Amino acid sequence: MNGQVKSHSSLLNRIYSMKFFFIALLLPTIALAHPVTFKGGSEIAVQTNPNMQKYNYTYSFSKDMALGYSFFKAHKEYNLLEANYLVKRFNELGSQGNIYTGLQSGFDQSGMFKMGAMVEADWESRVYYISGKYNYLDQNMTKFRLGYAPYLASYDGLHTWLMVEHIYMSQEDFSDVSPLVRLFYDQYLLEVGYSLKGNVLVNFMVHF
Amino acid sequence: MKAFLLAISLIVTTSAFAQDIHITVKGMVCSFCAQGIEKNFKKHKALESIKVDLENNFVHLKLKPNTDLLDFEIQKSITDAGYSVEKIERSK
Repeated sequence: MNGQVKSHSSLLNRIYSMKFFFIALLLPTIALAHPVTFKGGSEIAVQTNPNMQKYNYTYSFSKDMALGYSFFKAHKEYNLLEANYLVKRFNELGSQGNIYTGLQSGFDQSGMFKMGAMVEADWESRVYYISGKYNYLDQNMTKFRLGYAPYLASYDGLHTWLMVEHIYMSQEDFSDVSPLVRLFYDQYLLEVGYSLKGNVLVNFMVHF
Repeated sequence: MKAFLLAISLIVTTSAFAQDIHITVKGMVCSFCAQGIEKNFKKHKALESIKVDLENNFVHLKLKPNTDLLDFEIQKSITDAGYSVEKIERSK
C-alpha cells in the first residue's frame, strides 16, 4: 500500500517537474502572430525561448480568412494546421479593434491527433494597445497584453512599443508576467522580453 | 448612345485631371499592419508613387500621366487590406 502511494507521489512529482515542458508545449498556441493579415498577404513568424522553437507560415486568402502551418519543437516535434477567421473589425479614425476566432489541428511526433480552438480580441490606437486571447488545447489558457508607444513614428520609421504580457494556463495553474519591447520597421517586427520567472522571449515576424 | 458618349467623356476628363488622390482611411494606426495597403496599390499600373501618412490617416497616391484609378478600385485596395475608406479626394 505504502509502495503504491509512493509510486503515485513519485509520478505526480515527475509530472510537476515537467510543468515547464507542458508550458513550452502550449506556448506556440499563445505566442505572437497575427491571425489574419491582408488579402494575399503572407506572414512568417519565428518564436524562441529556452524551452521551444516555433516556425509559422500563414497565408490570408481574404481580409478575413487565413490558413497556416506551424512546426514547433519542444521536447517533441509538432505539426499543426491553423484556420483563422476575422469575425469583426472596428475601423475608426485613429483606432482599430478586432475579434478573431480560429481552429488548430495536427499531430505530435507520436502521431497523436491534437485539436484546439481560440478566440482573440484586440484594440489599438497609435499610443495604446490592449489584447486578450482564450485558447483551448488540452487545457484552458488566457493571455492579456497592454502596450504603450512612447513616441509616434512615421509610416517608414522605427516604431517602439513597451508591453506587458500576462499568461495563465489552467492545467498547471501557471501564470507569468513578461515586460517586453516590440520594435517594428517596414515589414519586420521584433519582440524581446524577460519574464518575472526568468524566461527570455524573442519573437520575430515578417509580412510580405 | 448619349449615355455612352457621356460616360466616355467623363472617363477621359477624369483621366486627364486626376493625378493625385488623397484617401482618408479608417483603422490605419499601425505601419506594420498597413503594409497591405501599399502592396495592393502597387499592383495597379497607374500608380507612380504612394505615401502613407499615419498621423493624418491619409494615403496619398500619385498617378502616372493620363491614367486613373476608379473609386471602386481604390475602395477595393483599401478594404482588401482590412481598412475602411472615409473619403476620396482628387486633385490635379
